[in-house]
Amino acid sequence: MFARQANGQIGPVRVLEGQKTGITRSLHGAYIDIPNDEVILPSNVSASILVFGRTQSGNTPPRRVIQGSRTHLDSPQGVAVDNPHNELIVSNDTRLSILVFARDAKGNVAPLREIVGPKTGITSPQGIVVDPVHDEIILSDEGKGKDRTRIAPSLRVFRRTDKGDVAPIRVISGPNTSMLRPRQIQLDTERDELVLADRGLPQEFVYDTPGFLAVWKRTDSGDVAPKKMIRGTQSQLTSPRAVYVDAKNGEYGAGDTTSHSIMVYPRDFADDGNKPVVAPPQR
Amino acid sequence: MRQTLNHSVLEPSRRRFRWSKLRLLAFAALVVALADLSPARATDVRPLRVIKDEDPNFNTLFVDVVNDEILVGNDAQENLQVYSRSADGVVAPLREISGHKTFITFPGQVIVDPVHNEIWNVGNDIADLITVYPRTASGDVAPIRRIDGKKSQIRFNRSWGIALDLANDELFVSHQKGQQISVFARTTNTDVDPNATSKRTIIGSATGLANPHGIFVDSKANEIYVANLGAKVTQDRRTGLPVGSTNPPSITVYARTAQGNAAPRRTIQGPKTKLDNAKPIFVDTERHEIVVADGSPTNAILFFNQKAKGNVAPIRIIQGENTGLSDPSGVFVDTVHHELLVANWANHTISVYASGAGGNVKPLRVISPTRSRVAAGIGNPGAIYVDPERNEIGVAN
Repeated sequence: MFARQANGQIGPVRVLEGQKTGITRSLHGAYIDIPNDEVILPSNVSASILVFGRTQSGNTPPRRVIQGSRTHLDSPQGVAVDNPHNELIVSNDTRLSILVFARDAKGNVAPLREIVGPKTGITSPQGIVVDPVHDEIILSDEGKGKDRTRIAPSLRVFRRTDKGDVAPIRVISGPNTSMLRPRQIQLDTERDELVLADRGLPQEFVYDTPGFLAVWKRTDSGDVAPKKMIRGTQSQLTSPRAVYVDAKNGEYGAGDTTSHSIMVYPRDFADDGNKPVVAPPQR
Repeated sequence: MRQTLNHSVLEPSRRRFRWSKLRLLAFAALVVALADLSPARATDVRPLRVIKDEDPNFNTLFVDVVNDEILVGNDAQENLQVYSRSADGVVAPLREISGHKTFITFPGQVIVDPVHNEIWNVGNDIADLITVYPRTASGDVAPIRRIDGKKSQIRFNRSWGIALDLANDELFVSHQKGQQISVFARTTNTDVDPNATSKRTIIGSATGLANPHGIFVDSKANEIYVANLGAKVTQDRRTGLPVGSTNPPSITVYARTAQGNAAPRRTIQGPKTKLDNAKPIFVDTERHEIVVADGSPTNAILFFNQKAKGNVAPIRIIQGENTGLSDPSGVFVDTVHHELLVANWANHTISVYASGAGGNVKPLRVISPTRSRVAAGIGNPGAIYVDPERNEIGVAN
């Protein structure tokens, strides 16, 4: 955990690590549940969901762990909490499914619901968000194929209460979307927008086609271009796989894989990439 | 026609205004329509702030006792650096291998092969690629050989550890995902032979492999040593469903020629071992000791008897505030100069200790290209979140 306004080569204010935490290298999801004062991390290497106190640090055990054969967890990638319905939603990579647990589930427990099957079109589930207001779950899916063209990457929207083999109610996918390898996704509830980190496409192990941050209207469907996109040399983005939306301070954050850095951008910016002179009002 | 007639009775100035207003409205509508239909124009936005290490984060190291050099893998700038073995204090690297031609991405274990005058690296987590360079390579140079882990017949993922067995001309690679060890002929090159495969693998429930990282081959003892972090996924025999588990970390030892679902000859595991977040492993063939580094937050070097097994305490530990250890991620025992060298990921240093040292001991010397001992330490940020109430950013790393 870093100070929000940290800049440069600066150390974290708090670190949660060590054997007791159950945290391993290669974590691909994180969610802060502010109402319940918790942070949730899916561990794909141990097929588990780890729940920690919001300010927990050091080599200390999680408050709760979901793990075991009944859970159907298999390489969980993304995680989100639906506070009004007290549910925990997980994108589950190897099993190609979306799992829904009781928010306070622990141990070897079966999910309440699972969205899984050929009609879902899930091929490589990554980031996930839940929208309890509009009763939707939005999944970023990397697609499949060497050049990502065999099955195109997509954002797939399901009804919040869906289960079994169901088709998504909306899909954002196609060449106009510019999507290459979509990863973490956020719902900007204030603006009713989806904000995606796309890690770009490596050519021969080098990210010659750099990634980007992109924003769609929540209700977009089909081959729709994002309404705005941050990309380019000046942005310093090479392969962003992580994103947050800070509505309070009018900022986007990006976690960049190959430059090993966190970048923070204004949520509103002019066409030349500069922040507007008049900042948007703070909530 | 009616419209024209109506317009014709308007004054010229009002007509012009009416037409220009309509044109403006039409133009505005067109712009809105095009904006909705055309692909988004990317905006090259300059970041307000960037959290990043400008100084190197040393992930692994290897000592070339023949040429008196230290090779390190640097995660922060994704390059390999070479320092003088006898350097002391703040020093610049002698040379760097860095740039797009090198294919270096998120470097894991590095090796120097003074016999064939080559250096090795594995791109861990992201690249799934092993690269080989001339020993004295410098700058943006292409590798002379590669093993591409994305090839379907090889298919390895998240490989952190590599070890070279020069006596038997073999390369050993540990794979985090799939809990597997692969063994290749030393000269394997998938650029020349795209269908090349590993000679053998160690994989299966009996192996005890669980999130394997560091690997070492002792060709005299004919054994392979592996540091396991503990997490793994197996399949329920009855239902076929995945079963995740988080086990205590361990050191597993195999016959050098082991293959398939081979059980380890010995396993060091349990609370007495003090193993915690231990990735690198090395065998001191002079003192007959297994050396591992417990990363942050334990920050310790643990020594075990080479034949130890079970829940055994280390025979010696280097740990404490005097040691300068900070998330130690690479270890090497230099039996020629009787020194232990450690790559510290979180303070940009290589610390050197006398062989046999233990306790809260000061290093003999510290090698670093910077005076800064502060590191952001961002590895592979898979997910982030912001806590607007506490004004904090969380990074899953």
